[in-house]
Amino acid sequence: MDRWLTRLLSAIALIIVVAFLTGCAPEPATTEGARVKALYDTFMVAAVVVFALVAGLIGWSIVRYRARDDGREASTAHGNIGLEVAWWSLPTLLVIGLFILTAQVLATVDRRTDDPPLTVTVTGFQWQWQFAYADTDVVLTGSTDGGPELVLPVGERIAFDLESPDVIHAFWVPQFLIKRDIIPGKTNRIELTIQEPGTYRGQCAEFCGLLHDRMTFSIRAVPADEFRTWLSQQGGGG
Amino acid sequence: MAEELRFFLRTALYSAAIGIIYWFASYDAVHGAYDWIGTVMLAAAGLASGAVVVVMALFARRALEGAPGASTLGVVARWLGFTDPGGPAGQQPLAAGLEPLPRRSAWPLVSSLAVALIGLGIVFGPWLLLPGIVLLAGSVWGWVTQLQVPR
Amino acid sequence: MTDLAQPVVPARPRGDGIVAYLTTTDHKQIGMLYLGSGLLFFLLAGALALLMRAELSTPGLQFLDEATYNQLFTMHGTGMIFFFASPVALGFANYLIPLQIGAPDVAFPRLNALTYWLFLMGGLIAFSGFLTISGAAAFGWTGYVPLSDGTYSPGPGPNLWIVGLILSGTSGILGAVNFLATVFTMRAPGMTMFRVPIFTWNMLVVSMLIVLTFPVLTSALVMLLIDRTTGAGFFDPAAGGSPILWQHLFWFFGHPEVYILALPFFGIVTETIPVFSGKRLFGYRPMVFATLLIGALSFSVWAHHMFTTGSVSNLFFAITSMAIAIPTGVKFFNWIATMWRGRLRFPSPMLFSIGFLLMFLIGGITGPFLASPPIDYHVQDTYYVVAHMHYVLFGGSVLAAFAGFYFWIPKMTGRMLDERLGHVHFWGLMVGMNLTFFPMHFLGLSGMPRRVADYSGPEWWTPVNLLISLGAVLVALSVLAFVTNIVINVLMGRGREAGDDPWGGYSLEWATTSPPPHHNFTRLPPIRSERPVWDARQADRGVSGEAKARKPGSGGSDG
Repeated sequence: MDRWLTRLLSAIALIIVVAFLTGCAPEPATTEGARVKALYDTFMVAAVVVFALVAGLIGWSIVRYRARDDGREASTAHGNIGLEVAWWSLPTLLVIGLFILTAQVLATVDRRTDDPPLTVTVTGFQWQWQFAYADTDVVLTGSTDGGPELVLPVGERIAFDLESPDVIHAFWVPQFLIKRDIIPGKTNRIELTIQEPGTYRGQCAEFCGLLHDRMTFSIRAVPADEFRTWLSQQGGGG
Repeated sequence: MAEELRFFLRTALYSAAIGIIYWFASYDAVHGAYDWIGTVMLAAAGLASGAVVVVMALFARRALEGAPGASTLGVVARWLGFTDPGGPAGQQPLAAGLEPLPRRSAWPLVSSLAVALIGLGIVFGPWLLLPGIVLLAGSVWGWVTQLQVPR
Repeated sequence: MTDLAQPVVPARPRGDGIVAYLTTTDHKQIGMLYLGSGLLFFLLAGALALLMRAELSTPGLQFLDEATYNQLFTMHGTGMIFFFASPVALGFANYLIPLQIGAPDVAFPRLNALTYWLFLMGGLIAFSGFLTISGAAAFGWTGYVPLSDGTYSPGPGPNLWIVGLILSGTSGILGAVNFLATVFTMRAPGMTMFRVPIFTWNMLVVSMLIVLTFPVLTSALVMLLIDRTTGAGFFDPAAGGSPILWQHLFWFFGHPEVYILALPFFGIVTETIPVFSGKRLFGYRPMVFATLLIGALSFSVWAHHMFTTGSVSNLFFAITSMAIAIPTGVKFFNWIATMWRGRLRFPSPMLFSIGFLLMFLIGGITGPFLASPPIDYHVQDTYYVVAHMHYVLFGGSVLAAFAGFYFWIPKMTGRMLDERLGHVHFWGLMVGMNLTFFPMHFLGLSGMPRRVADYSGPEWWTPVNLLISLGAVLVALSVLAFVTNIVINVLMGRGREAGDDPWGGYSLEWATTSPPPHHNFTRLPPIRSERPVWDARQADRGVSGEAKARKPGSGGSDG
């Protein structure tokens, strides 16, 4: 009975490891997102190693040290300085390593430039979005029946100024792998560069009241010249 | 030094230390500002633990010098119904034959009902607030005087 | 003074009637009240989760509207955190701390009763929002302003939520003061601080965390109530206030709260694992030190919930948050080393402890991902966070709480729970919770935000959400097995007699009868370590007779 149980336990552990390995973040569409994805994958390698080690030790203890009628006595060990030093320092080293990688990627993702080629003011309101292209009159506003489609150029650094007139929202495009809260009384800015043309789904991520789930929008990323043409067609100057 | 003193003292020192580190770490280069909120919270945690250390140092000294009842705090604590059955750490708590176990009391239930009424009064209006306050006053009186009944 | 205390005379007969419970000042009865009420709130908040899962099982809005759904997830979170996990931890603490340190009761028995009643009133008031016309609070358990202020969430429901939390917060503070006083002043002769069992140690640290952080939450709630009722504007940017201030105050409480909900349950498995491994706890002092370090670090990590606000020092909070993985990892290694080369038995309490180790391991491993700001930028406020927190709080705290129930219910009631039902409960729960929570990682990574009544995304989201909902049903059914177990074996009294020490326990609660008399102990064994009952059993049988100690017996009561 117990042997059967422990085998089932180990099987579950194995399934979890495999599932963890295969489940990864979406393919990033931005250069910043690519850095985040690479960091995520590094963390995942460390996670799988740690999980396999610890779950393996637990599994081994369950299988090997199950009480049997073999006259074996339980060990009387109750401490070991060498082991304690080892397992205090190993996680410490791992944490320091992961922190250094984090700090490097954070510096890239959070980098701000003085004069990005394109600035879009994003206004999140209850319960839709308004996008305004800087230096133009082009404004896209959504309604709860459907969000606006924001057209953006590929390969150019884009700044988003995030503003809210009411409650806290969050600007999130999953395939950009970045999100930022939109806080009333404060303008947050993120900057990113889209790598791949395509249509991307975006959504408010910070719960903002009744129709939070309908606060969706989409982004269509097109080549830069196509974008300029589109912008002038919308009545935007330059 | 008693265990509890050391425990609170270390908490106070730790909070103060992390508060100082946090003050410097919270510098925001974009706005040129430090974060007051977190620093104040950490400082408050340190000050609160420090205050406990000071109170306990005074309290413990008096308790050692004379009968526990001799200290003002001891009297207040007993008067509020916070009996002090243990005394300093390591004292014999099992001498319970000399020290009867706590008697039944309906006052905790009644006073919590009173507090609930007051809370509901804040939400729904004063018609609940007034009975709540009256009931609370009554239950505090009952709570405090309960111990003065000869056991 | 000799090691053995004189027998004491009970001050009054024990009573089990309703009036006896209403007027009780006995820490054991108060502990049972806490545990029972906590379980009822677990069933209530769990039912809310089932309703949510029913709605989410397919895209679109089927039988709930957004307004209802938002109330459900708010009260699910509030109920589970404030009115299930905390009171269950406090219930075990109430019952066990005086027993484990050899005391007749807690330091302030009437105050102790007050904490329970305040908690109960708080819970009832918070949930009573459902009875109002405009419904319960619907802004998430975190109550972020401005959404939770008078403009965006009018009505009495949110006010009831605030008042309920203020009452339960006050109750927590009073209870923690009581535990601190109890552990510091009421230990039996010989019970030095480094002989205090780990569960009690953890509760000591938890009490300290409560005392330092609950007042912050309570003040924030009072400020919010003033904002809502008088328009004072503490958190209103238009009036010179700051919504970020609320987040700081809330998370300065909120993150230590996570450890307030974790450390007691770490304590429970630290009690069960040595007993069912037939070994002493490996690394007692490192375990204590790890607990202290977790408690200390928990004060410096609060703003990792605020990485995406752009208002905090992300690097500072990244390193402190990741550092928590170190003492937690140490705990894991010491738990494993305790099982290593032991003689492991697997009754229900041990099964749930092993389940805890594996599930909490997953929750612990996803922790550093969220502590890394760039990764958090992507997964914050998604189902990834929902998965992480449920592996920590469900896979961690809930599984360990069940281990504690199976372990100590025989002590509390004198009746054993049924092992077969216990196994059904365990396997149902393990399979169900993994079906429910594991796929949520993928939903979150691929872009499903939390707190939505409806969703649209890749096609595979639909079958995965259905699978999650089915897993939730399995969890509910397995909990039903647990409830049945309690009803039949405890409430109806059909369970086998437990005897004083059914498991071969180590700490002092096993040295008295089941259930213990009102004054807890007639005699105490000598206390020379953190496991006096084991010591007494060894002394009884001679060290060479160790193998025989495997048999559960009444060792210890003869000291």
